[in-house]
Amino acid sequence: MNSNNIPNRLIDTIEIEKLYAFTDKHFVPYYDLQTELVDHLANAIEAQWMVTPNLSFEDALAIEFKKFGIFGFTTIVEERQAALSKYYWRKIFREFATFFRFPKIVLMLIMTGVLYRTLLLSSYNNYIVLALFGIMGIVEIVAGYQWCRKIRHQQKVTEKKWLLHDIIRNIYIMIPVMLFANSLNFLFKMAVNGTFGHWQIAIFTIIMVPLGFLEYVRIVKMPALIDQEMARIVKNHQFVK
Amino acid sequence: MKNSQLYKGSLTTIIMRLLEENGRMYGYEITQKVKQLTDGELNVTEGALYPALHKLEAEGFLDVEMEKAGNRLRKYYKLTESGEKETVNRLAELEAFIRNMQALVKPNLEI
Repeated sequence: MNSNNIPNRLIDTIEIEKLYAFTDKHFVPYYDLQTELVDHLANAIEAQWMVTPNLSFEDALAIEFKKFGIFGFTTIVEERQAALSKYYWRKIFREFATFFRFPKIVLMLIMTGVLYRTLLLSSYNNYIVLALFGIMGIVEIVAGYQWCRKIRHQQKVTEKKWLLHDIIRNIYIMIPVMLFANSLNFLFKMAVNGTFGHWQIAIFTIIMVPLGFLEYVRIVKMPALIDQEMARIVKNHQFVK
Repeated sequence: MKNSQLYKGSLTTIIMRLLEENGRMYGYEITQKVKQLTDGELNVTEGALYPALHKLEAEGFLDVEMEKAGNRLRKYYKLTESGEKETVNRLAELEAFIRNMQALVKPNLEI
């Protein structure tokens, strides 16, 4: 009850829908983030109605939105993206780090040795290097394409957009572009200039084997972990009437 | 936030301390609690609060619980085990900071 003994006005279901639409219009398409902002705005508007019961929903919303500053929700979305990306990479590197401990490190050392020896003995090692880059690139592109299809399907099923999905999709797009677009010129020169020397092979092997394992962790191991995480997020955001 | 430069670095510690005391809280509740505890002196802006909460969550210091609140969903934050340990560290750090600031500022005040 407020000072006039009128029952406190509460946000109704239609207004909740309007708040979701409002966040969407202000560049927050992700349901997980929308939900938190909708509850915040609803609480703040209800608090305003306790003091000024006759204030319209639209005016109260405009007052509250102003408090988010001139950038609106943009800063929150950007920071959330940064936080989730960090969370995702931390999970990957935690898993990746296990390859530097016994017993997995044995596998890493064996593969490094085999690759080094193969490149050293081959008269066409520049082509082997190119082929390895090519294979890694194709694996990235195929995995990225599959991921995009999968999230499109999940978004259709849940009828919602989720931030974590988009972040992983962006990483899938970013990595081949970063890794391959920048090295195409370098790789072409390598292919033309002939075979590699002893030191070039050693450096390449030391870089390439861990990169391969990192790709394995991202593409093979991570989707299961992300699926678990997404199942938890989606379940949490199911509204039980 | 009032005097933002001075308070900015302590926002996460403030959040963690509140969660340590109150168990679990949601975003809007935290802004109101800070306002109430400081008699309206300190106003945590939405643009600073949510990034801080999301950062702490991503670092594994906070856990999240969703719950139905009337006709909407509410996201509650609570400290994880590592979050509880981190709160103790950060509070100790903040106390040392306050002590040092007092030692530095006090002589000037006495003049």
